[in-house]
Amino acid sequence: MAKRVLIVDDALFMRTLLRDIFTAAGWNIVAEAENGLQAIEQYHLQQPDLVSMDIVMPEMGGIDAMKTILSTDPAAVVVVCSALGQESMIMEAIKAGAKDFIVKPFSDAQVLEVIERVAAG
Amino acid sequence: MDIAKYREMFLTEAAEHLQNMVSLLVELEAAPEDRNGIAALFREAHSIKGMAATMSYSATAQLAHHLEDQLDNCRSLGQISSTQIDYLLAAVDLLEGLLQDIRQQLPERSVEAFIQGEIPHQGLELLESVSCSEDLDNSNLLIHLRLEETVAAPGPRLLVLLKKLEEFGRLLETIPAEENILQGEISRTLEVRLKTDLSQEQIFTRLQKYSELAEITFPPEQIVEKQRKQQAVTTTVRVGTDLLDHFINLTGELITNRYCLQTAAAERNWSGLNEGLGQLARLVKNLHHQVLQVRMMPLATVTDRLPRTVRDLCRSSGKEVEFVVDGASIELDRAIIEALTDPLTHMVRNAIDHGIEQQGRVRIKAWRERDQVLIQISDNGRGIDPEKIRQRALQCGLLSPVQAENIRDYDLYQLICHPGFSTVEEITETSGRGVGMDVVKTAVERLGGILMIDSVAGEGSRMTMKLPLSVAIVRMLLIESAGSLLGLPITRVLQTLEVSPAEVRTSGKQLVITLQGELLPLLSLRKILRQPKGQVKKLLSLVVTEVLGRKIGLVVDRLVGQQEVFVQGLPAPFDRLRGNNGGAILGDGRIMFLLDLQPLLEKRRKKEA
Amino acid sequence: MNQLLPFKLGTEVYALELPEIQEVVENPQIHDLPGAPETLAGAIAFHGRIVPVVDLPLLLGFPAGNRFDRLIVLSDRHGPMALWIDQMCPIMTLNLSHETLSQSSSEADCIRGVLNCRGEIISLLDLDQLQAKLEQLCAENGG
Repeated sequence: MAKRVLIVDDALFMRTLLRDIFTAAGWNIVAEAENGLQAIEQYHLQQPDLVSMDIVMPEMGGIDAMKTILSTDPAAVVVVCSALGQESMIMEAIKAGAKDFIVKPFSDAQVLEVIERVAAG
Repeated sequence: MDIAKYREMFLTEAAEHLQNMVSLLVELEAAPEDRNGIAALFREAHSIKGMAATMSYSATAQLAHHLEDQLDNCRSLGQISSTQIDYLLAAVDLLEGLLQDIRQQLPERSVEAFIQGEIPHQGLELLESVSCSEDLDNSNLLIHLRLEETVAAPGPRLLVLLKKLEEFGRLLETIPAEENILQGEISRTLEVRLKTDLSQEQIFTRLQKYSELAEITFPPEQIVEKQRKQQAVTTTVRVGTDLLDHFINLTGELITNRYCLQTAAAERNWSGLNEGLGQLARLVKNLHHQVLQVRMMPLATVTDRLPRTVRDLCRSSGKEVEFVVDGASIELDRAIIEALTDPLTHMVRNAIDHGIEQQGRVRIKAWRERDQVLIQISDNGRGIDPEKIRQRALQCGLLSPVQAENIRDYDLYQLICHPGFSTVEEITETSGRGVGMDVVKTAVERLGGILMIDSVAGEGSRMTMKLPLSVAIVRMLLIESAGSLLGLPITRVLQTLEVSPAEVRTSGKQLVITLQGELLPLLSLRKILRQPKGQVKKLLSLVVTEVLGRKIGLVVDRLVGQQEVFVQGLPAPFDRLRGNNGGAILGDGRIMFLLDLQPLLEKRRKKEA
Repeated sequence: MNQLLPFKLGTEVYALELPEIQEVVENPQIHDLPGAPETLAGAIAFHGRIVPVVDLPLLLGFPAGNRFDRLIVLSDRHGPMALWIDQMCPIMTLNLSHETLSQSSSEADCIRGVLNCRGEIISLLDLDQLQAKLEQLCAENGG
C-alpha cells in the first residue's frame, strides 16, 4: 500500500514542488496545509505516515504545530523543511522531535533520500 | 550526556580537597594530637569520596573511602602517628594519579594493592592493571563521522545523526557535545563513544543511508585519546557571583551606550557622539579591569603546595627547616601564577639543599609595590660564596681575569643564573631533577619581571622576583630602530639616557661609557637586529637593561615613549621565531613587537664563538 | 564548479581556490618583524590581530620584482597569515576535475597540480606544503 504524506507549507509553489516529488516516488498525498493550525487538524483527520513541515508559516509555525502533534501522537514522523541560514530553528525542531530535515532549495534526490530514510525507521 | 563539563568541575574541586589534605597532614605532623585537624582531614576525604562516587569513578571513591576509615580510627584515638601521615601522604599521591587518569580519560589505575598495604611505586606496575577496567569493555565503540563538504546545514545534520546514534545504544561521550552543536559550533566531524550491543557492521549499514556522510570509520582507542588530550587544555576557574553581576551590569550599560551612539551617529550629533565615546571608554576600562579580576589568583595557589615539598626534603636530607610564607593572599594573573610554580619550588629546594646546613628557616615573602608584585625567597643558611662563583666564572670563561678581580660581589651573584653555571660539584638528588637558576631567571623575564640575587656569607641568601600584576597588559618603553617599532617591558628597563658620542670610549673591542663610576658596554640594537647602519647623531639614545646577568647600554635610534599595550602572541608557526615574544597593535594601527634580547644575543655569541 | 583567484609570481601564474582565502587586503601597511628571515616581509594589523606576511615570490625562489599592493589573507585553517604576491588577476570559474588537473612533478615546490586554461599554465598553490615549508623555516630560525 502506498505510504501517506501530509504536506505543510504556506507557499503554493513549494507545495506543488513537493507534491510532484512525492507523487513521482509513489506516495499518496492525503492532504495539504498552509499553516500550523491546518496541519494539526489535517493530521488528526488523516493520520498520515509522514508530515513534511515548513518551519516559518503564518498563524502557527511548524515547530509549534509539530509539538502539538507529537503531544497527542508521539509516534508521528515529522520532517521539517527550512531555508538555508535558519540552522538554529532546524536544531530546535530536531530537539523537539523532528526525525530529519530538508534545506531549501533542495533537489528531488535529496528529498527522496530523507523521506525514504525516515519512512524506513 | 555532556559528562566532560562535570568532569572538569570534579577535577578542579577534587584537586582542591587533595591540596587541603596535604596542608593538613603537614600541619598535623607538627601537632599530631590536633583533633580539629584530624576532623578536617576526615571531612576532606569524605568530600572526595562523595564526589567520586557520584561520578562513578569507582577506584577513586574506593580509595577515599579507605582513607575515611583510617581517619575515623585516628579520630577516635585522638591522634595520628607519623607512619600514618606517611601512609596518608602516599595515598594522596595515588589519588593525584587517579585524577590524572580521569583527566586523560584513561581507566583509573588500581588501588587494591595500596589498600591491601603495599605502597605502590610510580610507573610500570600501575599500568598493568589497565585491562581489567570496565571502561575498555567490548561494548564500547568509537565512531568517527565526517560530513561531505557540500552539506548545507552541518549543525542540524550532526544533531540528526546524534539522535540516530542514540537509537543504537547509550552515548558516553561526543565531540562536539550536543550542547556545543546547539550553540552553533561549526564542525563537519562527529566523534562518538557509544555503548551498544550492535556490531560495527550493523551500525555501518544503518549510517550508510546518509549520503551526507563522506566518512564512517571506527578508529582504535588510542588515536582518539591523543586528539582528546589536545582538546583538554582548557581549565576552569571559579568566579564569584558578584563579579558575574558586575559583568551583566556592564553589558547592559554597553548596550545602552551602543544605542546612544547609534542615535547620535544617525542625527550627526557630534557632541552626543563625543559624550557616548567618553562613556564607552569608561565602560571598556571598567570591563578590562573586571576581566583581569577574573584572572587573578592568590599566590597561595602555589605556596600551599610547598610545605609538602619542604617536609619531604627535610625527611630525605635529615635537616630541620622551618618554612614560613607571608603575603600568600597577594593576587597575580593566573598565567603568572602558573609560570611561577616551578621556579618557586626550585628556589625553595635550592635554599634547603645548598643554603641551610643543618637547621634553619626558609621564608617566602610577597608584597605589592604599586603595579608590581615582589616575591622574595630567603634563607638563613650559609649564603653564596663569592669566591666559588669567581673561580667557576673564570673556569667557564664568563669573566676575564681582570673582570673577575674587579667585579662587585652583587654582580657575581647574578652569574649563577647563567646557563650551565653550577658551583655544586656533586649534584644531589633534589637539585638534579629540578630546574636550574637559568630557567628560573628566564621564566621570570618571560613574564616581564626581573630576578635579583643577594647574599651575605654566613647569614643567608635572598632571591627577589619583581613581577607585573598581569601579563596581557604590559607597560612598555617604545623604541624605534631603523623604522621598526619595538617595545621593552618597563620592568626590564633600568634607566634611559642620552649621551654625547664624545663620552664613548673603547675597551678592547667593546664600546663603553662610564656610568655612575662603572663601565657600561654599549650594544647597537640595529646591529643585533641585523639592520642597516644608521647615521651619526649628536646624541646617542641609550636604554640600560640587563641581559644574561650583565648590565648593557642598548643604543637605539629613538626613545618614543611609554605606553600600556595589550600583548598578543604571533600565530603558529611564527611564534617560534627567535627573539619574538609577540607584539601589540597600537591605537594608530602601528604594530609594536616585543624585544626579547636574550635569544638574539645568545645567537650572536654562538656565531662569534 | 570551482572559483579560482589567479595571481602572478614572477612570470608564472599561480592560483588559490576562493574558499582558501579570507580576504584580499589593499594598500596594506606592512610592519617590520625584527630579526625575522627575509622571506617574512613583516606583519599587518588585520581586524585587531597581528598577521604575519610571507613574501611568497621570495619563498618560492622567484627574483625580487615589483610587489603588488595587495595581500591575500588566507582562511584560518592555514593561518592566520598573509601572502604577498606580484600581481593579481581576475577571478575565474572552471570545473577542477581530474582531466584538467595534472599532478605536480615535485613534492617540494608547493604546487598541488597544474592546469592548462586556454593555453595559460596555472599552478595551484599547495597550502599544506607551504605551511610545512614555513614551519621548517621558523624552526631553523627559532630560539
